[in-house]
Amino acid sequence: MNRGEFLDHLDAALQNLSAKDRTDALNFFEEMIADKAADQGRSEEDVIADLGPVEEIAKSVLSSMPAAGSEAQPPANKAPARAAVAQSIPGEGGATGKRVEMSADQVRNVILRVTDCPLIIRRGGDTQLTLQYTETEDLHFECSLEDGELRLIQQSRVRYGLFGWRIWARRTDMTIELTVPADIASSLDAQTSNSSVRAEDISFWGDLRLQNANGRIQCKGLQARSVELATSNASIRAEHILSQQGMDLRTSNASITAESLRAAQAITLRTSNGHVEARQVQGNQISLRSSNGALQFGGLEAPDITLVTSNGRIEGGVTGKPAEYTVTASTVNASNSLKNHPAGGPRRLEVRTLNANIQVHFEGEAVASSNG
Amino acid sequence: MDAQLKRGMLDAFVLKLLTRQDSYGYQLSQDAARIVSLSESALYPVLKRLESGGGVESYTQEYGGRLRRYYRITKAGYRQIDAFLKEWEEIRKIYDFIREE
Repeated sequence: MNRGEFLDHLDAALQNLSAKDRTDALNFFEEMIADKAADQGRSEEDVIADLGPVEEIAKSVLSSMPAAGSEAQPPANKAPARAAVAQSIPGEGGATGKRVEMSADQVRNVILRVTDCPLIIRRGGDTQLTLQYTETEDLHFECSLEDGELRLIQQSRVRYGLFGWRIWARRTDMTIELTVPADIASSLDAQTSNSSVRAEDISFWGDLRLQNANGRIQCKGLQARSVELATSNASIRAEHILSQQGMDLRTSNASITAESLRAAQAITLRTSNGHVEARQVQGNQISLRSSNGALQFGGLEAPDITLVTSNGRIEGGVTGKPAEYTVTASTVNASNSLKNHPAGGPRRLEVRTLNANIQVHFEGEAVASSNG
Repeated sequence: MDAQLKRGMLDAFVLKLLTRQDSYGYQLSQDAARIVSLSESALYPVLKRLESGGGVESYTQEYGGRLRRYYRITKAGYRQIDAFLKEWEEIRKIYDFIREE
Protein backbone atom coordinates (compact mmCIF):
# COMPACT_ATOMS: atom_id res chain seq x y z
CA MET A 1 0.00 0.00 0.00
CA ASN A 2 1.45 3.37 -0.88
CA ARG A 3 0.97 6.53 1.14
CA GLY A 4 -1.99 7.83 -0.85
CA GLU A 5 -3.84 4.52 -0.52
CA PHE A 6 -3.07 4.28 3.17
CA LEU A 7 -4.33 7.78 3.94
CA ASP A 8 -7.37 7.13 1.79
CA HIS A 9 -8.18 4.00 3.76
CA LEU A 10 -7.62 5.65 7.09
CA ASP A 11 -9.71 8.61 6.05
CA ALA A 12 -12.57 6.28 5.15
CA ALA A 13 -12.24 4.42 8.45
CA LEU A 14 -12.47 7.69 10.38
CA GLN A 15 -15.59 8.96 8.65
CA ASN A 16 -17.39 9.35 11.96
CA LEU A 17 -14.99 11.97 13.19
CA SER A 18 -15.18 15.69 12.56
CA ALA A 19 -13.11 16.98 9.66
CA LYS A 20 -10.65 18.56 12.08
CA ASP A 21 -10.05 15.42 14.15
CA ARG A 22 -9.74 13.35 11.02
CA THR A 23 -7.23 15.70 9.48
CA ASP A 24 -5.19 15.80 12.68
CA ALA A 25 -4.93 12.03 12.64
CA LEU A 26 -4.11 11.83 8.93
CA ASN A 27 -1.43 14.47 9.32
CA PHE A 28 0.09 12.62 12.25
CA PHE A 29 0.43 9.35 10.36
CA GLU A 30 1.50 11.00 7.14
CA GLU A 31 4.28 12.79 8.99
CA MET A 32 5.23 9.61 10.85
CA ILE A 33 5.54 7.66 7.60
CA ALA A 34 7.63 10.33 5.89
CA ASP A 35 9.95 10.74 8.88
CA LYS A 36 10.38 7.05 9.47
CA ALA A 37 11.04 6.25 5.82
CA ALA A 38 13.56 9.08 5.54
CA ASP A 39 15.32 8.25 8.81
CA GLN A 40 15.57 4.52 8.27
CA GLY A 41 16.18 4.71 4.53
CA ARG A 42 13.22 2.46 3.80
CA SER A 43 10.41 2.72 1.31
CA GLU A 44 7.13 4.23 2.41
CA GLU A 45 5.31 1.01 1.50
CA ASP A 46 7.58 -0.88 3.85
CA VAL A 47 7.04 1.57 6.68
CA ILE A 48 3.28 1.52 6.13
CA ALA A 49 3.25 -2.27 6.38
CA ASP A 50 4.93 -1.80 9.78
CA LEU A 51 2.04 0.26 11.06
CA GLY A 52 -0.33 -2.68 10.96
CA PRO A 53 -3.89 -2.92 9.70
CA VAL A 54 -5.69 0.35 9.04
CA GLU A 55 -8.68 -0.86 11.07
CA GLU A 56 -6.50 -1.21 14.18
CA ILE A 57 -5.07 2.26 13.70
CA ALA A 58 -8.55 3.68 13.26
CA LYS A 59 -9.67 1.95 16.45
CA SER A 60 -6.77 3.45 18.30
CA VAL A 61 -7.51 6.93 16.96
CA LEU A 62 -11.18 6.63 17.83
CA SER A 63 -10.28 5.57 21.36
CA SER A 64 -8.72 8.99 21.91
CA MET A 65 -11.93 10.83 21.11
CA PRO A 66 -14.22 11.75 24.00
CA ALA A 67 -17.32 10.30 22.38
CA ALA A 68 -15.96 7.71 20.01
CA GLY A 69 -18.17 6.78 17.14
CA SER A 70 -20.74 9.41 17.87
CA GLU A 71 -22.29 11.70 15.31
CA ALA A 72 -19.85 13.66 13.25
CA GLN A 73 -20.04 17.10 14.71
CA PRO A 74 -17.76 20.04 15.07
CA PRO A 75 -16.39 20.01 18.62
CA ALA A 76 -19.05 22.21 20.13
CA ASN A 77 -17.89 21.60 23.72
CA LYS A 78 -19.51 24.06 26.03
CA ALA A 79 -20.37 27.44 24.70
CA PRO A 80 -18.06 30.14 26.02
CA ALA A 81 -19.82 31.57 29.03
CA ARG A 82 -19.81 35.05 27.69
CA ALA A 83 -18.37 36.11 24.41
CA ALA A 84 -16.56 39.34 25.05
CA VAL A 85 -18.25 42.06 23.09
CA ALA A 86 -16.03 43.17 20.27
CA GLN A 87 -16.61 46.43 18.54
CA SER A 88 -16.11 46.18 14.81
CA ILE A 89 -14.26 48.73 12.78
CA PRO A 90 -14.51 48.04 9.05
CA GLY A 91 -11.17 48.22 7.31
CA GLU A 92 -9.89 47.91 3.78
CA GLY A 93 -9.81 44.74 1.71
CA GLY A 94 -12.49 42.86 3.64
CA ALA A 95 -10.57 43.19 6.90
CA THR A 96 -12.45 44.10 10.04
CA GLY A 97 -10.70 45.68 12.99
CA LYS A 98 -11.97 44.36 16.31
CA ARG A 99 -11.65 46.11 19.59
CA VAL A 100 -12.49 44.59 22.96
CA GLU A 101 -12.40 46.87 25.94
CA MET A 102 -13.03 46.23 29.61
CA SER A 103 -12.03 47.32 33.05
CA ALA A 104 -8.69 45.71 33.87
CA ASP A 105 -9.95 44.96 37.38
CA GLN A 106 -12.13 42.14 36.22
CA VAL A 107 -9.30 40.28 34.49
CA ARG A 108 -7.10 37.85 36.39
CA ASN A 109 -5.67 36.01 33.44
CA VAL A 110 -5.20 36.76 29.76
CA ILE A 111 -4.67 33.92 27.31
CA LEU A 112 -3.74 34.55 23.68
CA ARG A 113 -3.40 31.63 21.29
CA VAL A 114 -2.67 32.68 17.75
CA THR A 115 -0.38 31.79 14.87
CA ASP A 116 1.43 33.99 12.35
CA CYS A 117 0.25 37.15 14.07
CA PRO A 118 2.67 39.67 15.60
CA LEU A 119 1.89 40.44 19.23
CA ILE A 120 2.35 43.80 20.87
CA ILE A 121 1.77 44.15 24.58
CA ARG A 122 2.02 47.62 26.02
CA ARG A 123 0.86 49.96 28.71
CA GLY A 124 -2.12 52.20 28.21
CA GLY A 125 -4.50 54.04 30.52
CA ASP A 126 -4.86 53.49 34.25
CA THR A 127 -7.91 51.27 34.29
CA GLN A 128 -8.78 49.91 30.88
CA LEU A 129 -7.66 46.74 29.19
CA THR A 130 -7.95 46.82 25.41
CA LEU A 131 -7.46 44.03 22.96
CA GLN A 132 -7.29 44.91 19.28
CA TYR A 133 -7.13 42.47 16.43
CA THR A 134 -8.16 42.15 12.83
CA GLU A 135 -10.35 39.56 11.23
CA THR A 136 -10.33 38.73 7.55
CA GLU A 137 -11.98 36.15 5.40
CA ASP A 138 -9.31 33.63 6.38
CA LEU A 139 -8.66 34.71 9.90
CA HIS A 140 -11.11 34.43 12.77
CA PHE A 141 -10.81 34.60 16.51
CA GLU A 142 -12.91 33.55 19.39
CA CYS A 143 -12.79 36.02 22.21
CA SER A 144 -14.34 35.27 25.57
CA LEU A 145 -14.30 36.40 29.16
CA GLU A 146 -15.14 33.85 31.81
CA ASP A 147 -14.35 33.87 35.53
CA GLY A 148 -11.83 36.63 35.10
CA GLU A 149 -10.10 34.86 32.22
CA LEU A 150 -9.91 36.72 28.94
CA ARG A 151 -9.16 34.42 26.05
CA LEU A 152 -8.42 35.16 22.43
CA ILE A 153 -8.19 31.95 20.46
CA GLN A 154 -7.51 31.90 16.77
CA GLN A 155 -9.73 29.61 14.80
CA SER A 156 -7.97 27.41 12.29
CA ARG A 157 -6.57 29.36 9.40
CA VAL A 158 -5.84 26.17 7.56
CA ARG A 159 -8.46 24.64 5.37
CA TYR A 160 -8.41 21.08 4.28
CA GLY A 161 -9.00 19.67 0.85
CA LEU A 162 -9.38 16.14 -0.40
CA PHE A 163 -7.43 13.51 1.62
CA GLY A 164 -6.63 16.12 4.19
CA TRP A 165 -4.09 17.99 2.09
CA ARG A 166 -3.58 21.33 3.70
CA ILE A 167 -4.64 24.46 1.93
CA TRP A 168 -2.94 27.34 3.64
CA ALA A 169 -4.87 30.49 3.95
CA ARG A 170 -3.13 33.55 2.64
CA ARG A 171 -0.77 34.87 5.27
CA THR A 172 -2.03 38.13 6.54
CA ASP A 173 0.22 39.07 9.47
CA MET A 174 -2.43 40.97 11.32
CA THR A 175 -1.03 42.48 14.48
CA ILE A 176 -2.70 41.77 17.78
CA GLU A 177 -2.34 44.49 20.33
CA LEU A 178 -3.00 44.18 24.04
CA THR A 179 -2.98 47.41 26.00
CA VAL A 180 -3.13 47.24 29.79
CA PRO A 181 -2.54 49.53 32.78
CA ALA A 182 1.08 49.88 33.88
CA ASP A 183 0.25 47.80 36.91
CA ILE A 184 -2.17 44.95 36.36
CA ALA A 185 -3.35 42.23 38.74
CA SER A 186 -3.35 39.63 36.00
CA SER A 187 -1.26 36.91 34.45
CA LEU A 188 -0.53 36.84 30.74
CA ASP A 189 0.00 33.71 28.73
CA ALA A 190 0.49 34.55 25.06
CA GLN A 191 1.46 32.31 22.21
CA THR A 192 2.03 33.01 18.55
CA SER A 193 4.34 31.70 15.86
CA ASN A 194 6.32 32.82 12.82
CA SER A 195 5.97 36.37 13.94
CA SER A 196 7.32 38.86 16.44
CA VAL A 197 6.42 39.42 20.08
CA ARG A 198 7.03 42.70 21.86
CA ALA A 199 6.17 43.68 25.41
CA GLU A 200 7.08 46.86 27.26
CA ASP A 201 6.67 48.71 30.54
CA ILE A 202 4.15 46.63 32.43
CA SER A 203 4.06 45.16 35.87
CA PHE A 204 2.00 41.95 36.12
CA TRP A 205 1.00 40.64 39.50
CA GLY A 206 0.65 37.21 38.00
CA ASP A 207 2.84 35.10 35.77
CA LEU A 208 4.11 36.23 32.41
CA ARG A 209 4.61 33.76 29.65
CA LEU A 210 5.36 34.75 26.06
CA GLN A 211 5.85 32.08 23.47
CA ASN A 212 6.70 32.23 19.82
CA ALA A 213 8.21 29.90 17.27
CA ASN A 214 10.40 31.06 14.40
CA GLY A 215 10.04 34.63 15.54
CA ARG A 216 11.70 37.16 17.83
CA ILE A 217 10.75 38.12 21.34
CA GLN A 218 11.63 41.58 22.63
CA CYS A 219 10.86 42.65 26.18
CA LYS A 220 11.68 45.72 28.15
CA GLY A 221 10.70 47.07 31.55
CA LEU A 222 8.57 44.15 32.70
CA GLN A 223 7.78 42.78 36.09
CA ALA A 224 5.86 39.60 36.92
CA ARG A 225 5.60 36.82 39.45
CA SER A 226 7.41 34.46 37.10
CA VAL A 227 8.74 35.15 33.62
CA GLU A 228 8.99 32.70 30.77
CA LEU A 229 10.07 33.75 27.28
CA ALA A 230 10.38 30.95 24.77
CA THR A 231 10.83 30.81 21.02
CA SER A 232 12.84 28.92 18.44
CA ASN A 233 15.02 29.87 15.49
CA ALA A 234 14.90 33.52 16.48
CA SER A 235 16.49 35.82 18.99
CA ILE A 236 15.34 36.96 22.40
CA ARG A 237 16.14 40.39 23.76
CA ALA A 238 15.24 41.22 27.34
CA GLU A 239 16.01 44.39 29.26
CA HIS A 240 15.06 45.42 32.75
CA ILE A 241 12.99 42.42 33.74
CA LEU A 242 12.06 41.65 37.31
CA SER A 243 10.56 38.48 38.71
CA GLN A 244 9.45 37.51 42.19
CA GLN A 245 10.13 33.91 41.28
CA GLY A 246 12.17 32.49 38.43
CA MET A 247 13.02 33.58 34.91
CA ASP A 248 13.37 31.27 31.96
CA LEU A 249 14.50 32.52 28.54
CA ARG A 250 15.02 29.98 25.84
CA THR A 251 15.38 29.70 22.09
CA SER A 252 17.38 27.74 19.57
CA ASN A 253 19.60 28.61 16.61
CA ALA A 254 19.68 32.23 17.65
CA SER A 255 21.07 34.58 20.23
CA ILE A 256 19.82 35.78 23.59
CA THR A 257 20.69 39.29 24.71
CA ALA A 258 19.79 40.31 28.22
CA GLU A 259 20.48 43.31 30.37
CA SER A 260 19.42 43.98 33.91
CA LEU A 261 17.49 40.89 34.93
CA ARG A 262 16.57 40.26 38.54
CA ALA A 263 14.76 37.29 40.02
CA ALA A 264 14.34 35.88 43.50
CA GLN A 265 14.88 32.39 42.16
CA ALA A 266 16.72 30.85 39.22
CA ILE A 267 17.47 32.71 35.99
CA THR A 268 18.10 30.52 32.98
CA LEU A 269 19.15 31.71 29.53
CA ARG A 270 19.44 28.86 27.11
CA THR A 271 19.95 28.54 23.37
CA SER A 272 21.85 26.45 20.89
CA ASN A 273 23.92 27.52 17.90
CA GLY A 274 23.74 31.08 19.07
CA HIS A 275 25.47 33.30 21.59
CA VAL A 276 24.24 34.47 24.93
CA GLU A 277 25.01 37.94 26.14
CA ALA A 278 24.01 38.89 29.67
CA ARG A 279 24.81 42.01 31.68
CA GLN A 280 23.76 42.85 35.24
CA VAL A 281 21.93 39.68 36.06
CA GLN A 282 21.02 38.94 39.62
CA GLY A 283 19.28 35.86 40.96
CA ASN A 284 19.44 32.99 43.37
CA GLN A 285 20.91 30.94 40.60
CA ILE A 286 22.14 31.90 37.13
CA SER A 287 22.57 29.56 34.26
CA LEU A 288 23.77 30.58 30.78
CA ARG A 289 23.80 27.75 28.31
CA SER A 290 24.44 27.33 24.63
CA SER A 291 26.17 25.07 22.21
CA ASN A 292 28.26 26.30 19.30
CA GLY A 293 27.89 29.79 20.64
CA ALA A 294 29.81 32.16 22.89
CA LEU A 295 28.76 33.31 26.33
CA GLN A 296 29.55 36.94 27.09
CA PHE A 297 28.58 38.57 30.32
CA GLY A 298 29.23 41.08 33.04
CA GLY A 299 27.88 41.70 36.50
CA LEU A 300 26.55 38.21 37.11
CA GLU A 301 25.54 37.97 40.71
CA ALA A 302 24.28 34.74 42.27
CA PRO A 303 25.33 32.17 44.85
CA ASP A 304 25.29 29.62 42.07
CA ILE A 305 26.47 30.36 38.52
CA THR A 306 26.63 27.87 35.67
CA LEU A 307 28.14 28.82 32.30
CA VAL A 308 28.15 26.00 29.80
CA THR A 309 28.62 25.92 26.03
CA SER A 310 30.71 24.16 23.45
CA ASN A 311 32.73 25.52 20.55
CA GLY A 312 32.18 28.98 21.88
CA ARG A 313 34.22 31.15 24.18
CA ILE A 314 33.16 32.08 27.68
CA GLU A 315 34.13 35.60 28.45
CA GLY A 316 33.15 38.12 31.06
CA GLY A 317 32.93 39.01 34.71
CA VAL A 318 31.14 37.77 37.80
CA THR A 319 30.73 39.86 40.94
CA GLY A 320 32.84 39.32 44.04
CA LYS A 321 36.32 38.04 44.69
CA PRO A 322 37.89 34.71 43.72
CA ALA A 323 38.01 33.57 47.34
CA GLU A 324 34.21 33.68 47.54
CA TYR A 325 33.86 30.96 44.92
CA THR A 326 34.19 27.25 44.59
CA VAL A 327 35.24 26.97 40.97
CA THR A 328 35.04 24.18 38.42
CA ALA A 329 36.29 25.27 35.02
CA SER A 330 37.23 23.27 31.99
CA THR A 331 37.86 23.61 28.30
CA VAL A 332 39.66 21.49 25.76
CA ASN A 333 42.10 22.64 23.08
CA ALA A 334 42.05 26.21 24.38
CA SER A 335 43.16 28.46 27.17
CA ASN A 336 41.50 28.83 30.54
CA SER A 337 41.93 31.87 32.78
CA LEU A 338 40.25 30.19 35.75
CA LYS A 339 41.82 27.83 38.20
CA ASN A 340 39.77 25.08 39.74
CA HIS A 341 39.03 25.70 43.41
CA PRO A 342 37.27 22.56 44.50
CA ALA A 343 37.09 23.73 48.11
CA GLY A 344 36.77 27.48 47.73
CA GLY A 345 34.15 29.86 49.06
CA PRO A 346 30.39 29.41 49.46
CA ARG A 347 29.50 30.59 45.97
CA ARG A 348 29.55 28.05 43.20
CA LEU A 349 30.91 28.77 39.73
CA GLU A 350 30.87 26.15 37.03
CA VAL A 351 32.37 26.99 33.64
CA ARG A 352 32.61 24.54 30.79
CA THR A 353 33.26 24.73 27.07
CA LEU A 354 35.17 22.90 24.37
CA ASN A 355 37.58 24.15 21.72
CA ALA A 356 37.31 27.72 22.92
CA ASN A 357 38.85 29.98 25.52
CA ILE A 358 37.61 30.70 29.00
CA GLN A 359 38.30 34.24 30.12
CA VAL A 360 36.43 34.96 33.31
CA HIS A 361 37.36 37.67 35.80
CA PHE A 362 36.12 38.61 39.22
CA GLU A 363 34.78 42.12 39.26
CA GLY A 364 35.38 42.56 42.99
CA GLU A 365 39.03 42.30 42.17
CA ALA A 366 39.14 44.73 39.27
CA VAL A 367 41.53 47.16 40.98
CA ALA A 368 43.97 44.49 42.02
CA SER A 369 44.17 42.96 38.57
CA SER A 370 44.78 46.30 36.87
CA ASN A 371 47.78 46.74 39.16
CA GLY A 372 49.14 43.36 38.28
CA MET B 1 -3.57 -4.18 33.05
CA ASP B 2 -6.38 -1.88 34.05
CA ALA B 3 -6.91 0.50 31.13
CA GLN B 4 -7.22 3.57 33.32
CA LEU B 5 -3.96 2.80 35.11
CA LYS B 6 -2.18 2.14 31.85
CA ARG B 7 -3.40 5.39 30.34
CA GLY B 8 -2.13 7.39 33.29
CA MET B 9 1.24 5.70 33.02
CA LEU B 10 1.62 6.26 29.29
CA ASP B 11 0.60 9.89 29.67
CA ALA B 12 3.22 10.50 32.34
CA PHE B 13 5.78 8.57 30.31
CA VAL B 14 5.32 10.68 27.18
CA LEU B 15 5.28 13.87 29.27
CA LYS B 16 8.61 12.85 30.76
CA LEU B 17 10.06 12.28 27.28
CA LEU B 18 9.04 15.84 26.43
CA THR B 19 10.81 17.34 29.43
CA ARG B 20 14.10 16.83 27.61
CA GLN B 21 13.13 18.79 24.53
CA ASP B 22 10.21 19.49 22.24
CA SER B 23 9.72 16.55 19.98
CA TYR B 24 7.64 15.22 17.08
CA GLY B 25 5.75 12.02 16.34
CA TYR B 26 8.47 9.88 14.88
CA GLN B 27 11.15 11.04 17.29
CA LEU B 28 8.86 10.36 20.23
CA SER B 29 8.02 6.91 18.98
CA GLN B 30 11.74 6.16 18.64
CA ASP B 31 12.52 7.49 22.12
CA ALA B 32 9.62 5.57 23.59
CA ALA B 33 10.68 2.37 21.88
CA ARG B 34 13.89 2.33 23.88
CA ILE B 35 11.88 1.80 27.04
CA VAL B 36 8.50 0.29 26.24
CA SER B 37 6.83 -1.18 23.22
CA LEU B 38 4.46 1.57 22.22
CA SER B 39 3.31 1.41 18.63
CA GLU B 40 2.95 4.54 16.53
CA SER B 41 -0.79 4.13 16.51
CA ALA B 42 -0.86 3.82 20.31
CA LEU B 43 1.20 6.99 20.63
CA TYR B 44 -1.39 9.06 18.83
CA PRO B 45 -4.18 8.80 21.42
CA VAL B 46 -1.69 9.60 24.17
CA LEU B 47 -0.61 12.84 22.49
CA LYS B 48 -4.17 13.73 21.60
CA ARG B 49 -5.25 13.20 25.19
CA LEU B 50 -2.35 15.20 26.59
CA GLU B 51 -3.02 18.04 24.20
CA SER B 52 -6.71 18.30 24.95
CA GLY B 53 -5.90 18.08 28.66
CA GLY B 54 -3.50 21.00 28.39
CA GLY B 55 -0.39 19.06 29.49
CA VAL B 56 1.09 19.40 26.03
CA GLU B 57 0.98 22.05 23.36
CA SER B 58 1.85 21.60 19.75
CA TYR B 59 3.13 23.80 16.98
CA THR B 60 4.19 23.15 13.43
CA GLN B 61 7.54 23.86 11.97
CA GLU B 62 8.80 23.38 8.48
CA TYR B 63 11.23 20.57 7.97
CA GLY B 64 12.61 19.60 4.57
CA GLY B 65 9.81 21.25 2.67
CA ARG B 66 6.99 19.82 4.73
CA LEU B 67 5.42 20.59 8.05
CA ARG B 68 6.18 18.77 11.20
CA ARG B 69 4.09 18.97 14.34
CA TYR B 70 6.19 19.47 17.46
CA TYR B 71 4.92 18.83 20.95
CA ARG B 72 5.93 20.83 23.96
CA ILE B 73 5.23 20.13 27.63
CA THR B 74 3.42 22.88 29.54
CA LYS B 75 3.52 23.81 33.20
CA ALA B 76 0.30 21.83 33.61
CA GLY B 77 2.17 18.89 32.08
CA TYR B 78 4.88 19.14 34.70
CA ARG B 79 2.19 19.22 37.36
CA GLN B 80 0.67 16.14 35.81
CA ILE B 81 3.99 14.28 36.17
CA ASP B 82 4.16 15.29 39.82
CA ALA B 83 0.59 14.15 40.38
CA PHE B 84 1.39 10.84 38.74
CA LEU B 85 4.42 10.29 40.97
CA LYS B 86 2.35 11.05 44.04
CA GLU B 87 -0.41 8.74 42.97
CA TRP B 88 2.11 6.07 42.24
CA GLU B 89 3.25 6.14 45.85
CA GLU B 90 -0.22 4.97 46.83
CA ILE B 91 -0.17 2.20 44.28
CA ARG B 92 3.24 1.18 45.46
CA LYS B 93 2.02 0.84 49.01
CA ILE B 94 -0.80 -1.39 47.87
CA TYR B 95 1.58 -3.41 45.74
CA ASP B 96 3.95 -3.90 48.65
CA PHE B 97 1.05 -4.89 50.87
CA ILE B 98 -0.17 -7.49 48.40
CA ARG B 99 3.28 -8.98 47.93
CA GLU B 100 3.94 -9.31 51.63
CA GLU B 101 0.97 -11.50 52.38
